[in-house]
Amino acid sequence: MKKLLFSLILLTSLQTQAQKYFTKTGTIIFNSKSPVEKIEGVNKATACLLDTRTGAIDFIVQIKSFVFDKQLMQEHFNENYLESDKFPKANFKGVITNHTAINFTKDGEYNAEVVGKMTLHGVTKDVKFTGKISIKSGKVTITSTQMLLLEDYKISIPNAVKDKVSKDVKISVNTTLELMK
Amino acid sequence: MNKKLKIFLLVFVAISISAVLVWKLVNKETADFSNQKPAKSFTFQQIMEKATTDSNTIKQLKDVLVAVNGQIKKITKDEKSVTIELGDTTSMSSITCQFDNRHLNELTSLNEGSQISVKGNITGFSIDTELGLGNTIEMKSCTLNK
Repeated sequence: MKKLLFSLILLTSLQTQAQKYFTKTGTIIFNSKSPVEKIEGVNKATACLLDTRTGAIDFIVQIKSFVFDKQLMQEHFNENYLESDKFPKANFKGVITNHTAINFTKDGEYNAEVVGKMTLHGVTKDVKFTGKISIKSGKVTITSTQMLLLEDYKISIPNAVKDKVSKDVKISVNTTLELMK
Repeated sequence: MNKKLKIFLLVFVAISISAVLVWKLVNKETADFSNQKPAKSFTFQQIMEKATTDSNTIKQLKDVLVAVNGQIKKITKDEKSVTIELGDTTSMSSITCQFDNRHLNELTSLNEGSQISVKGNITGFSIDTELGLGNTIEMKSCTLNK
């Protein structure tokens, strides 16, 4: 009886472990329209954790980890816009509302809806995203593209470039998660 | 040469020089550390321990070129980028290094489990007590430390 109980506890514990997927090398691309040039920052060190049992999903992003092609763009992004010394991290904490409709154990592609709280530039807002979840060979890939209004997060555009820089930015997520062992 | 023409030429030259300087400043690429010597060098265990026990460590190392020697835990790559994680299988803690995409051709022999020495800028540190992801140091503009 004791052996059976122990086996059941062990099995339950293993199942609980098998429900979490993660990465520390996910991709987030920040893209802003400008008539003069392309403003694009890429962060390939985004941390993400997904609990397939509850649908809970977390993203953690270090702002300084965004890489731009041009030095001046990178400096402006960190110093003038996102103020990365003052607000070093952005994060998202939410839940996939339709996670029960997704079979994470079988290859396939699903539409996903995520609701949660996003904190950026020290401002936390309730947000709702849509995206795609692909399951292939035991890995879970999350892709989503959303527009964010800079003023929602109290990110101000300097007057000198107010007419040249878009008031909203495109955030693209593409991250492949592996089973947490 | 009359006076007006001289003034015109001077103004033209001054404007041209200014335009070139502004163009150079605006289009200057991000720093390339491949030929620079790191100011500080650590093993994976040393820097992780320092960062975990003293929260000022990472602040002090900001904007400093740092070299780290460690084991490659994971390689994530596509046609335009390579990001590696340094660490070992005993812990979730790791260092993520986003490689400078101008030097990807030097990374032909990367293998998970092998030792590597990389240099780059530290961009952040997370102590995770909630999600089970371990502690993470992030670096960018990384190149091989030869």
